[in-house]
Amino acid sequence: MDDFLLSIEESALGVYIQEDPWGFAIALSVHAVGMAMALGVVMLVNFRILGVVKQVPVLSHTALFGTAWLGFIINLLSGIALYASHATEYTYQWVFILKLTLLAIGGYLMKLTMEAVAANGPAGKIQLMSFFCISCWIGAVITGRLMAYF
Amino acid sequence: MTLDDFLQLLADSFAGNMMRDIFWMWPFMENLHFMGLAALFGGLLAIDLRVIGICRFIPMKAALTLIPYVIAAFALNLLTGIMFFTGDPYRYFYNLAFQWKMALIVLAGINALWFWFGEHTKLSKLADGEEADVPAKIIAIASLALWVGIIVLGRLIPYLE
Repeated sequence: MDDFLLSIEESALGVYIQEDPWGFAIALSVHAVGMAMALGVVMLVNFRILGVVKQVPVLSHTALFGTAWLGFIINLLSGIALYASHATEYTYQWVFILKLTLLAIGGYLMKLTMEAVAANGPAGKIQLMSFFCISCWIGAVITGRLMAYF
Repeated sequence: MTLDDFLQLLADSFAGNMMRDIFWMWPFMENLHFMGLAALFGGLLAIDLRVIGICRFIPMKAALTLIPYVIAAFALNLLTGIMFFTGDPYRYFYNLAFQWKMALIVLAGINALWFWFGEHTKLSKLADGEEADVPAKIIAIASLALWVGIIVLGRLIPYLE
């Protein structure tokens, strides 16, 4: 396992992100923009479902989901680059594992919530799912930021 | 009072001391700042992409009601941003990325005023699905471009010292 992780770090991408003076900084900046796109849309639609904002029809937000997916792909790629540069470290960081778990649950809950909205499901159930969804996403941001501290 | 006196005053303030002395305060504020930035950008995406025409499915009037949401998110980030600044004023004030970030925020503010005074009334009269005029689209594109720049420069602060 450790040999495998080391080979990731020693890959061309891992070495570039680690050794180029701008590699890590650029990957991090791109990661922040992708986060703003994906999380921004997820926050907006969940805040709408939960009643924090009220006017935009919930299903209209699907027009923004392309942008959210683009942000997600940007972060998957920049995330892989960041991971490659510190594979031996991040793999054993519990906040990182927690972050990935929360993102997977949060992403799945977003899908379930929108399906329930489209199917005109019970409002209480939709709001409960939406609440857990946004909690997971916020948890993913917090655990991601805390990777710099643990 | 010189500029450095003023920076020292901020550093010695209650907020400045709190940011340095309470170990969880800095990461706590960072997390709030990240959430504020995502909320701000998400609201802008809905408004600006509707104006540009990519998300014409969103009713224009409804999109414009998100302006207070965007302003609230900005207020959160202004507040948390001031906290970082008081925590380490000399570092931020003389940091190139920070200086450029502030310049772009001022430009984004002017752009937002132009939107509010020049286009808001016209846009709120648009029918569902109707296209916005060209100046409004230029403002919307500038808004998204400026905020991407602001996010990138903010993230570069630790790397441009």
